[in-house]
Amino acid sequence: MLIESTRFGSFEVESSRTLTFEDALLGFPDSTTYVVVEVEDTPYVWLQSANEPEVAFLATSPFLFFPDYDLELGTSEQQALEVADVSQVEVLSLLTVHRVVDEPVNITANLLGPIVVNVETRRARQVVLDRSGYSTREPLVA
Amino acid sequence: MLVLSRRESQSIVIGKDIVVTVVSIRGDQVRIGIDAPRSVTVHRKEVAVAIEQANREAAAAADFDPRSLPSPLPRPPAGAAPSKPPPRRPSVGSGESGRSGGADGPAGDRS
Repeated sequence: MLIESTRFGSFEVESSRTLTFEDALLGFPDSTTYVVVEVEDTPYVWLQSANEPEVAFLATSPFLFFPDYDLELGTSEQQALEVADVSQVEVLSLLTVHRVVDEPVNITANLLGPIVVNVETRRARQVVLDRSGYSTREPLVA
Repeated sequence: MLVLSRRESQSIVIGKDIVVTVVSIRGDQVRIGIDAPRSVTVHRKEVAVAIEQANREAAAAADFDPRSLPSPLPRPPAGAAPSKPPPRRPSVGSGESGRSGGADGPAGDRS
């Protein structure tokens, strides 16, 4: 499929690289399909909206930076994702870039609301880990 | 906003498929039970607001070059103390844990 992106211009991706969100990300109701664009030689990816060219999220696997990240999927989330087993999902955390004048760039990860992907169906949801104690801004430490 | 008064164990029906029940009332706290189809997400409002705000902030980074960002911490050798505390979490029995991203990186085919 052809993707229009303000960041990347126009490019083709195989449909197998798309993620479908039955429930769009809160705040972005018009984007229900995203493509994953890897940033070479880094652990980072872009989630580029296939619906809105200007919508893109920087993301990474949270376990690379937070080895003890404890993610529990409740029954309703498991059902919504149609997964029975942890081997069927991959997890992405959306990253926020905090740019403050005269200070080094600060990156935080949203560990409260990870993106959970059913790798077989390519359906994804933003799961809210309501009681976890995680925040939406956990610092990525160098 | 529609405002209704309910006592313990009374319910409200929303649309065809959603039932909200007052499970119990203790002091100034109400325990509310929600029966809804799995396609309907239910969250505490302040949490939903926080998630939406975080998503908007994250989308503002769309012009950023991530190649200047740090690589993941090297794993400490087995038995060493962690160099930073893990994120806070309650000490409940462990449920499923998510899958490690590993060297392949997160979701996305490499073809």
